[in-house]
Amino acid sequence: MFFTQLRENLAGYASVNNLASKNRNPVCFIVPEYINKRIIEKGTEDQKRKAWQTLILTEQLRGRRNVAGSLHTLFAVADKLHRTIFDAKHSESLPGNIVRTEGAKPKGGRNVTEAYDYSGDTYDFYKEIFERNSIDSKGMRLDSTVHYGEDYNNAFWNGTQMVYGDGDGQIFNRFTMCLDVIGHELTHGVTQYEAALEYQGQPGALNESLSDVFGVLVKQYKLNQTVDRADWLIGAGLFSRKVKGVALRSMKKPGTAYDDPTIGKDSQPAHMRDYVNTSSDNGGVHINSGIPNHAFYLTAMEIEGKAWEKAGKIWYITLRDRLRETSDFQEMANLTYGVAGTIFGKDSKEQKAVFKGWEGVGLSPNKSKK
Amino acid sequence: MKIHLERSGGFAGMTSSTTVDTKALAPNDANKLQNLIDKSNIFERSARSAQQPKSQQSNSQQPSPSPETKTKTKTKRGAADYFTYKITIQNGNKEQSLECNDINMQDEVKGLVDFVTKHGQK
Repeated sequence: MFFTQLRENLAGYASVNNLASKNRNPVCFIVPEYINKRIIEKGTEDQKRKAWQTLILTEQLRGRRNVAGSLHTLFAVADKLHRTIFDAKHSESLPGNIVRTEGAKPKGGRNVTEAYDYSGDTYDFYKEIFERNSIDSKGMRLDSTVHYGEDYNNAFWNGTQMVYGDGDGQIFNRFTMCLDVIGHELTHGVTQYEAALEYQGQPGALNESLSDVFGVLVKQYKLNQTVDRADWLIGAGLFSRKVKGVALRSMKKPGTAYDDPTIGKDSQPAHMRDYVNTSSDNGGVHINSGIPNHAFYLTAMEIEGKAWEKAGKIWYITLRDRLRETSDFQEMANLTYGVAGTIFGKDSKEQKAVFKGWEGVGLSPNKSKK
Repeated sequence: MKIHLERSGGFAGMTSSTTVDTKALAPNDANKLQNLIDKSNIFERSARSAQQPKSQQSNSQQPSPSPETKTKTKTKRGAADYFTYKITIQNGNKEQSLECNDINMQDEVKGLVDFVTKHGQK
Protein backbone atom coordinates (compact mmCIF):
# COMPACT_ATOMS: atom_id res chain seq x y z
CA MET A 1 0.00 0.00 0.00
CA PHE A 2 2.77 2.32 0.99
CA PHE A 3 4.87 1.65 -2.10
CA THR A 4 1.85 1.82 -4.39
CA GLN A 5 1.16 5.27 -3.06
CA LEU A 6 4.79 6.29 -3.46
CA ARG A 7 4.93 4.98 -7.00
CA GLU A 8 1.68 6.77 -7.92
CA ASN A 9 3.00 10.02 -6.57
CA LEU A 10 6.28 9.63 -8.41
CA ALA A 11 4.37 9.06 -11.65
CA GLY A 12 2.79 12.43 -10.98
CA TYR A 13 6.19 14.03 -10.67
CA ALA A 14 7.31 12.69 -14.01
CA SER A 15 4.69 14.72 -15.80
CA VAL A 16 5.51 17.93 -13.95
CA ASN A 17 9.25 17.69 -14.27
CA ASN A 18 9.63 15.81 -17.50
CA LEU A 19 11.34 13.01 -15.70
CA ALA A 20 11.35 10.03 -17.95
CA SER A 21 11.81 6.36 -17.23
CA LYS A 22 9.00 4.01 -16.41
CA ASN A 23 11.63 1.61 -15.20
CA ARG A 24 12.66 3.45 -12.10
CA ASN A 25 12.27 1.41 -8.97
CA PRO A 26 10.48 3.75 -6.56
CA VAL A 27 12.17 2.19 -3.59
CA CYS A 28 15.56 3.31 -4.90
CA PHE A 29 14.36 6.58 -6.35
CA ILE A 30 15.10 9.54 -4.21
CA VAL A 31 13.30 12.72 -5.22
CA PRO A 32 15.31 15.70 -4.09
CA GLU A 33 13.43 18.03 -1.82
CA TYR A 34 13.68 20.91 -4.31
CA ILE A 35 11.51 18.96 -6.75
CA ASN A 36 8.84 18.42 -4.12
CA LYS A 37 9.02 22.05 -3.21
CA ARG A 38 8.49 23.12 -6.80
CA ILE A 39 5.50 20.80 -7.12
CA ILE A 40 3.98 22.21 -3.98
CA GLU A 41 4.42 25.72 -5.33
CA LYS A 42 3.52 25.18 -8.96
CA GLY A 43 1.62 21.94 -9.26
CA THR A 44 -2.09 21.29 -9.57
CA GLU A 45 -4.09 20.63 -6.40
CA ASP A 46 -3.79 16.92 -6.90
CA GLN A 47 -0.05 17.08 -7.53
CA LYS A 48 0.47 19.32 -4.50
CA ARG A 49 -1.45 16.89 -2.32
CA LYS A 50 0.57 13.94 -3.57
CA ALA A 51 3.87 15.78 -3.15
CA TRP A 52 2.99 16.45 0.46
CA GLN A 53 1.96 12.88 1.04
CA THR A 54 5.21 11.64 -0.44
CA LEU A 55 7.23 13.85 1.84
CA ILE A 56 5.33 12.58 4.81
CA LEU A 57 5.65 8.95 3.70
CA THR A 58 9.35 9.42 3.08
CA GLU A 59 9.86 10.87 6.51
CA GLN A 60 7.95 7.95 7.98
CA LEU A 61 10.19 5.58 6.05
CA ARG A 62 13.08 7.29 7.75
CA GLY A 63 11.45 6.38 11.03
CA ARG A 64 10.13 9.74 12.01
CA ARG A 65 6.46 9.58 12.88
CA ASN A 66 5.76 13.13 13.76
CA VAL A 67 6.75 15.04 10.68
CA ALA A 68 4.72 18.20 10.30
CA GLY A 69 7.21 20.28 12.26
CA SER A 70 10.28 19.24 10.34
CA LEU A 71 8.59 19.55 6.97
CA HIS A 72 7.34 23.07 7.44
CA THR A 73 10.86 24.32 7.80
CA LEU A 74 11.73 23.02 4.33
CA PHE A 75 9.54 25.57 2.67
CA ALA A 76 9.77 29.28 2.22
CA VAL A 77 6.95 30.70 4.23
CA ALA A 78 4.15 32.40 2.42
CA ASP A 79 3.42 36.01 3.11
CA LYS A 80 -0.19 35.08 3.53
CA LEU A 81 -2.59 32.52 4.88
CA HIS A 82 -1.50 28.97 4.19
CA ARG A 83 -3.65 26.25 5.71
CA THR A 84 -3.39 22.50 5.50
CA ILE A 85 -5.94 20.17 7.06
CA PHE A 86 -5.06 16.55 7.81
CA ASP A 87 -7.20 13.58 8.81
CA ALA A 88 -5.79 11.20 11.41
CA LYS A 89 -8.65 8.76 10.73
CA HIS A 90 -9.06 8.05 14.43
CA SER A 91 -5.44 7.04 14.89
CA GLU A 92 -3.03 9.02 17.03
CA SER A 93 -0.42 9.38 14.33
CA LEU A 94 0.32 12.91 13.27
CA PRO A 95 -0.22 14.65 11.04
CA GLY A 96 -2.32 12.07 9.15
CA ASN A 97 -3.46 12.27 5.50
CA ILE A 98 -3.94 15.59 3.77
CA VAL A 99 -7.57 16.32 3.05
CA ARG A 100 -7.55 19.99 2.21
CA THR A 101 -4.92 22.46 1.10
CA GLU A 102 -5.06 26.25 0.90
CA GLY A 103 -7.50 27.48 -1.70
CA ALA A 104 -8.92 24.03 -2.38
CA LYS A 105 -12.65 23.42 -2.55
CA PRO A 106 -14.41 22.41 0.65
CA LYS A 107 -14.44 18.67 1.16
CA GLY A 108 -14.00 16.07 3.90
CA GLY A 109 -16.88 16.93 6.20
CA ARG A 110 -17.63 19.65 8.69
CA ASN A 111 -14.64 19.04 11.01
CA VAL A 112 -12.35 19.78 8.07
CA THR A 113 -14.41 22.81 7.02
CA GLU A 114 -14.46 24.24 10.54
CA ALA A 115 -10.74 23.71 11.10
CA TYR A 116 -10.07 25.38 7.75
CA ASP A 117 -12.49 28.31 8.11
CA TYR A 118 -11.81 29.09 11.75
CA SER A 119 -8.03 29.01 11.43
CA GLY A 120 -8.53 31.44 8.55
CA ASP A 121 -10.64 33.67 10.77
CA THR A 122 -7.94 33.56 13.45
CA TYR A 123 -5.24 34.42 10.94
CA ASP A 124 -7.36 37.33 9.65
CA PHE A 125 -7.91 38.63 13.17
CA TYR A 126 -4.21 38.75 13.96
CA LYS A 127 -3.40 40.24 10.56
CA GLU A 128 -6.10 42.89 10.49
CA ILE A 129 -6.04 43.96 14.13
CA PHE A 130 -2.39 43.49 15.09
CA GLU A 131 -0.70 43.31 11.68
CA ARG A 132 0.67 39.94 12.65
CA ASN A 133 1.41 37.52 9.83
CA SER A 134 0.46 34.16 11.31
CA ILE A 135 1.63 32.42 14.48
CA ASP A 136 5.32 33.26 14.13
CA SER A 137 4.65 36.64 12.48
CA LYS A 138 6.47 35.31 9.43
CA GLY A 139 3.64 33.59 7.59
CA MET A 140 4.00 30.17 9.23
CA ARG A 141 1.69 27.52 7.78
CA LEU A 142 -1.35 26.65 9.83
CA ASP A 143 -1.63 22.88 10.06
CA SER A 144 -4.57 21.12 11.68
CA THR A 145 -5.35 17.47 12.18
CA VAL A 146 -8.96 16.40 12.69
CA HIS A 147 -10.47 13.06 13.74
CA TYR A 148 -7.57 12.46 16.10
CA GLY A 149 -8.01 9.36 18.27
CA GLU A 150 -11.26 7.63 19.14
CA ASP A 151 -13.93 9.56 21.03
CA TYR A 152 -11.12 11.90 21.93
CA ASN A 153 -12.57 14.57 24.22
CA ASN A 154 -9.95 17.18 23.56
CA ALA A 155 -8.01 19.52 21.29
CA PHE A 156 -4.38 20.53 21.73
CA TRP A 157 -1.45 22.42 20.26
CA ASN A 158 1.63 20.20 20.01
CA GLY A 159 4.15 22.97 19.44
CA THR A 160 3.82 22.74 15.65
CA GLN A 161 0.21 22.11 14.74
CA MET A 162 -3.34 21.94 16.05
CA VAL A 163 -4.96 18.62 16.83
CA TYR A 164 -8.72 18.08 17.23
CA GLY A 165 -10.72 15.15 18.57
CA ASP A 166 -14.30 14.28 17.69
CA GLY A 167 -15.57 14.11 21.26
CA ASP A 168 -17.45 11.08 22.55
CA GLY A 169 -20.90 12.50 21.85
CA GLN A 170 -21.81 11.85 25.50
CA ILE A 171 -19.99 14.67 27.19
CA PHE A 172 -18.43 16.53 24.29
CA ASN A 173 -19.17 17.38 20.70
CA ARG A 174 -16.44 17.72 18.09
CA PHE A 175 -13.77 20.21 19.13
CA THR A 176 -13.64 22.05 15.81
CA MET A 177 -17.11 23.47 16.24
CA CYS A 178 -16.15 26.57 18.25
CA LEU A 179 -14.29 29.48 16.71
CA ASP A 180 -12.92 30.49 20.11
CA VAL A 181 -11.48 27.00 20.65
CA ILE A 182 -9.52 27.27 17.42
CA GLY A 183 -8.49 30.82 18.26
CA HIS A 184 -7.38 29.51 21.67
CA GLU A 185 -5.20 26.79 20.16
CA LEU A 186 -3.56 29.04 17.60
CA THR A 187 -2.85 31.60 20.28
CA HIS A 188 -0.76 28.99 22.11
CA GLY A 189 1.41 29.12 19.01
CA VAL A 190 1.62 32.91 19.18
CA THR A 191 2.56 32.74 22.87
CA GLN A 192 5.17 30.10 22.07
CA TYR A 193 6.86 32.45 19.59
CA GLU A 194 6.56 35.51 21.82
CA ALA A 195 6.71 35.25 25.61
CA ALA A 196 7.09 31.45 25.59
CA LEU A 197 5.39 31.29 29.00
CA GLU A 198 6.19 28.05 30.78
CA TYR A 199 3.25 25.69 30.93
CA GLN A 200 2.97 25.28 34.65
CA GLY A 201 1.88 27.28 37.70
CA GLN A 202 1.12 30.96 37.26
CA PRO A 203 3.04 31.40 33.99
CA GLY A 204 1.07 28.43 32.63
CA ALA A 205 -2.21 29.90 33.83
CA LEU A 206 -1.24 33.16 32.09
CA ASN A 207 -0.47 31.17 28.97
CA GLU A 208 -3.93 29.62 29.19
CA SER A 209 -5.57 32.96 29.90
CA LEU A 210 -3.98 34.59 26.87
CA SER A 211 -5.39 31.80 24.72
CA ASP A 212 -8.84 32.32 26.22
CA VAL A 213 -8.61 36.11 25.82
CA PHE A 214 -7.60 36.06 22.16
CA GLY A 215 -9.89 33.10 21.50
CA VAL A 216 -12.93 35.13 22.57
CA LEU A 217 -11.62 38.23 20.80
CA VAL A 218 -11.41 36.32 17.51
CA LYS A 219 -15.05 35.38 18.01
CA GLN A 220 -16.15 38.88 19.09
CA TYR A 221 -14.36 40.38 16.09
CA LYS A 222 -15.98 37.94 13.70
CA LEU A 223 -19.41 38.70 15.14
CA ASN A 224 -18.60 42.41 15.54
CA GLN A 225 -19.76 42.37 19.15
CA THR A 226 -19.24 45.13 21.65
CA VAL A 227 -18.28 44.14 25.19
CA ASP A 228 -21.85 44.20 26.44
CA ARG A 229 -23.08 41.95 23.64
CA ALA A 230 -20.36 39.33 23.96
CA ASP A 231 -21.01 36.20 26.05
CA TRP A 232 -17.42 35.96 27.36
CA LEU A 233 -17.68 32.17 27.30
CA ILE A 234 -15.08 29.68 26.16
CA GLY A 235 -16.29 26.58 24.37
CA ALA A 236 -20.00 27.41 24.36
CA GLY A 237 -21.63 24.52 22.51
CA LEU A 238 -18.85 22.01 23.12
CA PHE A 239 -20.79 20.13 25.75
CA SER A 240 -23.40 17.66 24.56
CA ARG A 241 -27.01 18.41 25.41
CA LYS A 242 -26.82 15.90 28.27
CA VAL A 243 -24.41 18.07 30.24
CA LYS A 244 -25.64 20.76 32.63
CA GLY A 245 -23.45 23.62 31.50
CA VAL A 246 -23.29 26.50 29.05
CA ALA A 247 -19.56 26.40 28.29
CA LEU A 248 -16.20 25.21 29.60
CA ARG A 249 -15.26 28.55 31.13
CA SER A 250 -16.68 31.99 31.74
CA MET A 251 -14.52 35.11 31.82
CA LYS A 252 -17.47 37.10 33.10
CA LYS A 253 -18.22 34.75 36.02
CA PRO A 254 -15.45 32.19 36.53
CA GLY A 255 -16.75 29.10 38.31
CA THR A 256 -20.28 29.21 36.89
CA ALA A 257 -19.90 27.71 33.42
CA TYR A 258 -21.06 24.19 34.35
CA ASP A 259 -22.35 22.14 37.27
CA ASP A 260 -23.12 18.58 36.30
CA PRO A 261 -23.50 15.33 38.25
CA THR A 262 -21.14 13.43 35.93
CA ILE A 263 -18.34 15.86 35.19
CA GLY A 264 -18.57 18.00 38.29
CA LYS A 265 -18.52 21.74 38.74
CA ASP A 266 -16.53 24.50 37.09
CA SER A 267 -13.77 25.12 39.65
CA GLN A 268 -12.28 28.31 38.29
CA PRO A 269 -11.54 31.07 40.81
CA ALA A 270 -12.36 34.71 40.02
CA HIS A 271 -10.05 36.17 42.66
CA MET A 272 -6.55 35.62 44.05
CA ARG A 273 -7.97 34.66 47.45
CA ASP A 274 -9.39 31.53 45.79
CA TYR A 275 -6.21 30.58 43.93
CA VAL A 276 -6.12 26.78 43.60
CA ASN A 277 -2.95 25.00 44.69
CA THR A 278 -2.86 21.64 42.97
CA SER A 279 -0.42 19.36 41.24
CA SER A 280 -2.98 18.30 38.61
CA ASP A 281 -3.22 20.06 35.29
CA ASN A 282 0.39 21.31 35.49
CA GLY A 283 -0.47 23.21 38.64
CA GLY A 284 -4.03 24.11 37.62
CA VAL A 285 -3.24 26.11 34.48
CA HIS A 286 -6.82 25.75 33.18
CA ILE A 287 -8.23 26.53 36.61
CA ASN A 288 -6.31 29.55 37.81
CA SER A 289 -6.55 31.14 34.35
CA GLY A 290 -9.94 32.28 35.65
CA ILE A 291 -8.21 35.07 37.55
CA PRO A 292 -6.38 36.83 34.69
CA ASN A 293 -9.38 36.03 32.44
CA HIS A 294 -11.63 37.96 34.76
CA ALA A 295 -9.13 40.82 34.99
CA PHE A 296 -9.26 41.17 31.20
CA TYR A 297 -13.06 41.05 31.24
CA LEU A 298 -13.26 43.78 33.90
CA THR A 299 -10.75 45.94 32.01
CA ALA A 300 -12.62 45.56 28.73
CA MET A 301 -15.99 46.30 30.33
CA GLU A 302 -14.56 49.42 31.97
CA ILE A 303 -13.17 50.71 28.65
CA GLU A 304 -16.38 49.73 26.77
CA GLY A 305 -16.76 49.47 23.00
CA LYS A 306 -15.03 46.67 21.15
CA ALA A 307 -12.68 44.72 23.36
CA TRP A 308 -10.04 44.01 20.72
CA GLU A 309 -9.42 47.72 20.01
CA LYS A 310 -7.97 48.83 23.32
CA ALA A 311 -7.95 46.12 25.99
CA GLY A 312 -6.96 43.56 23.37
CA LYS A 313 -4.21 45.83 22.08
CA ILE A 314 -2.78 46.33 25.58
CA TRP A 315 -2.77 42.59 26.19
CA TYR A 316 -1.24 41.84 22.78
CA ILE A 317 1.60 44.35 23.12
CA THR A 318 2.30 43.00 26.60
CA LEU A 319 2.48 39.45 25.21
CA ARG A 320 4.60 40.45 22.25
CA ASP A 321 7.04 42.83 23.93
CA ARG A 322 7.06 42.47 27.69
CA LEU A 323 6.10 39.09 29.14
CA ARG A 324 8.82 36.57 29.94
CA GLU A 325 8.80 32.78 30.31
CA THR A 326 8.36 32.89 34.07
CA SER A 327 6.07 35.91 34.38
CA ASP A 328 3.43 35.54 37.05
CA PHE A 329 0.07 37.27 37.60
CA GLN A 330 1.58 40.20 39.49
CA GLU A 331 4.01 40.82 36.67
CA MET A 332 1.19 40.65 34.12
CA ALA A 333 -0.67 43.26 36.14
CA ASN A 334 2.41 45.51 36.29
CA LEU A 335 3.21 45.10 32.62
CA THR A 336 -0.29 45.65 31.24
CA TYR A 337 -0.54 48.76 33.41
CA GLY A 338 2.76 50.02 32.02
CA VAL A 339 1.84 49.23 28.41
CA ALA A 340 -1.53 50.96 28.79
CA GLY A 341 0.30 54.06 29.99
CA THR A 342 2.70 53.94 27.07
CA ILE A 343 0.02 53.52 24.41
CA PHE A 344 -2.78 55.66 25.82
CA GLY A 345 -0.98 58.00 28.20
CA LYS A 346 -0.24 58.12 31.89
CA ASP A 347 -3.46 58.25 33.94
CA SER A 348 -5.50 57.77 30.79
CA LYS A 349 -8.94 56.22 30.98
CA GLU A 350 -7.47 53.03 29.56
CA GLN A 351 -4.66 52.81 32.08
CA LYS A 352 -7.09 53.36 34.94
CA ALA A 353 -9.31 50.63 33.52
CA VAL A 354 -6.39 48.19 33.61
CA PHE A 355 -5.74 49.08 37.24
CA LYS A 356 -9.36 48.53 38.10
CA GLY A 357 -9.42 45.23 36.21
CA TRP A 358 -6.59 43.79 38.25
CA GLU A 359 -7.86 45.24 41.51
CA GLY A 360 -11.08 43.41 40.84
CA VAL A 361 -9.23 40.09 41.08
CA GLY A 362 -7.14 41.02 44.09
CA LEU A 363 -3.94 42.31 42.45
CA SER A 364 -2.52 45.84 42.44
CA PRO A 365 -0.39 46.83 39.47
CA ASN A 366 2.88 48.26 40.72
CA LYS A 367 2.82 51.79 39.34
CA SER A 368 6.51 52.39 39.78
CA LYS A 369 7.67 49.38 37.75
CA LYS A 370 8.44 49.97 34.07
CA MET B 1 -2.77 -5.40 42.59
CA LYS B 2 -4.38 -2.06 41.85
CA ILE B 3 -3.70 0.19 38.90
CA HIS B 4 -4.76 3.75 39.33
CA LEU B 5 -4.98 6.16 36.42
CA GLU B 6 -5.39 9.87 36.82
CA ARG B 7 -5.92 12.03 33.75
CA SER B 8 -5.78 15.78 34.01
CA GLY B 9 -5.24 18.83 31.86
CA GLY B 10 -6.71 18.93 28.38
CA PHE B 11 -8.54 21.90 26.93
CA ALA B 12 -11.26 21.57 29.58
CA GLY B 13 -8.77 21.19 32.42
CA MET B 14 -10.76 18.41 34.07
CA THR B 15 -9.30 15.69 36.25
CA SER B 16 -10.69 12.18 36.28
CA SER B 17 -9.52 9.03 38.01
CA THR B 18 -10.14 5.37 37.47
CA THR B 19 -8.86 2.26 39.22
CA VAL B 20 -8.57 -1.39 38.24
CA ASP B 21 -8.39 -3.98 40.99
CA THR B 22 -7.00 -7.20 39.54
CA LYS B 23 -9.12 -9.18 42.04
CA ALA B 24 -12.23 -7.97 40.27
CA LEU B 25 -11.04 -8.96 36.79
CA ALA B 26 -11.98 -12.06 34.86
CA PRO B 27 -8.94 -14.37 34.39
CA ASN B 28 -8.70 -13.45 30.69
CA ASP B 29 -8.59 -9.78 31.45
CA ALA B 30 -6.18 -10.26 34.34
CA ASN B 31 -3.76 -12.01 31.98
CA LYS B 32 -4.18 -9.33 29.40
CA LEU B 33 -3.43 -6.70 32.01
CA GLN B 34 -0.32 -8.50 33.18
CA ASN B 35 0.92 -8.65 29.59
CA LEU B 36 0.30 -4.97 29.16
CA ILE B 37 2.13 -4.16 32.37
CA ASP B 38 5.09 -6.26 31.30
CA LYS B 39 5.15 -4.72 27.81
CA SER B 40 4.87 -1.23 29.18
CA ASN B 41 8.06 -1.68 31.16
CA ILE B 42 6.44 0.55 33.69
CA PHE B 43 8.59 -0.40 36.66
CA GLU B 44 11.76 0.32 34.74
CA ARG B 45 10.39 3.58 33.36
CA SER B 46 9.18 4.55 36.80
CA ALA B 47 12.59 3.86 38.33
CA ARG B 48 14.38 5.84 35.63
CA SER B 49 11.92 8.68 35.94
CA ALA B 50 12.40 8.77 39.71
CA GLN B 51 16.12 9.34 39.17
CA GLN B 52 15.48 12.52 37.22
CA PRO B 53 15.24 15.82 39.05
CA LYS B 54 11.59 16.62 39.83
CA SER B 55 11.52 19.67 37.57
CA GLN B 56 12.24 17.53 34.54
CA GLN B 57 9.84 14.74 35.28
CA SER B 58 6.45 15.82 34.05
CA ASN B 59 7.29 17.30 30.73
CA SER B 60 10.37 15.53 29.52
CA GLN B 61 10.76 12.56 27.27
CA GLN B 62 11.49 9.22 28.92
CA PRO B 63 15.29 8.93 28.96
CA SER B 64 17.07 6.67 26.43
CA PRO B 65 14.25 4.46 25.21
CA SER B 66 15.35 0.98 24.20
CA PRO B 67 15.78 0.55 20.43
CA GLU B 68 12.70 -1.59 19.91
CA THR B 69 10.23 0.87 21.43
CA LYS B 70 8.38 3.20 19.10
CA THR B 71 8.46 6.62 20.62
CA LYS B 72 6.15 9.49 20.11
CA THR B 73 7.88 12.81 20.11
CA LYS B 74 9.24 14.72 22.99
CA THR B 75 6.84 17.27 24.43
CA LYS B 76 7.83 20.35 22.49
CA ARG B 77 8.17 23.62 24.30
CA GLY B 78 5.05 25.61 23.66
CA ALA B 79 2.76 22.56 23.51
CA ALA B 80 -0.49 23.03 25.40
CA ASP B 81 -3.89 21.52 26.23
CA TYR B 82 -2.69 17.92 25.98
CA PHE B 83 -3.87 15.43 28.60
CA THR B 84 -1.40 14.43 31.27
CA TYR B 85 -1.58 10.94 32.78
CA LYS B 86 -0.33 9.51 36.03
CA ILE B 87 -0.33 5.73 36.33
CA THR B 88 0.22 4.22 39.75
CA ILE B 89 0.61 0.52 40.42
CA GLN B 90 0.02 -0.67 43.95
CA ASN B 91 1.18 -4.15 44.78
CA GLY B 92 0.95 -4.97 48.47
CA ASN B 93 2.92 -2.22 50.13
CA LYS B 94 4.89 -1.40 46.99
CA GLU B 95 3.84 1.50 44.83
CA GLN B 96 5.28 2.91 41.61
CA SER B 97 4.13 5.80 39.46
CA LEU B 98 4.70 7.03 35.96
CA GLU B 99 3.71 10.30 34.33
CA CYS B 100 3.30 11.02 30.65
CA ASN B 101 1.09 12.94 28.26
CA ASP B 102 -0.65 12.67 24.87
CA ILE B 103 2.43 13.86 23.05
CA ASN B 104 5.20 11.79 24.64
CA MET B 105 3.26 8.66 25.62
CA GLN B 106 4.86 5.59 24.17
CA ASP B 107 2.74 2.91 22.49
CA GLU B 108 3.47 0.33 25.18
CA VAL B 109 2.21 2.64 27.91
CA LYS B 110 -0.81 3.58 25.80
CA GLY B 111 -1.98 -0.03 25.76
CA LEU B 112 -2.03 -0.02 29.54
CA VAL B 113 -3.76 3.38 29.74
CA ASP B 114 -6.47 2.23 27.33
CA PHE B 115 -7.08 -0.97 29.30
CA VAL B 116 -7.44 0.83 32.62
CA THR B 117 -9.70 3.44 31.04
CA LYS B 118 -11.95 0.71 29.67
CA HIS B 119 -12.05 -1.63 32.67
CA GLY B 120 -11.61 0.72 35.58
CA GLN B 121 -14.03 1.94 38.21
CA LYS B 122 -14.15 5.52 39.38
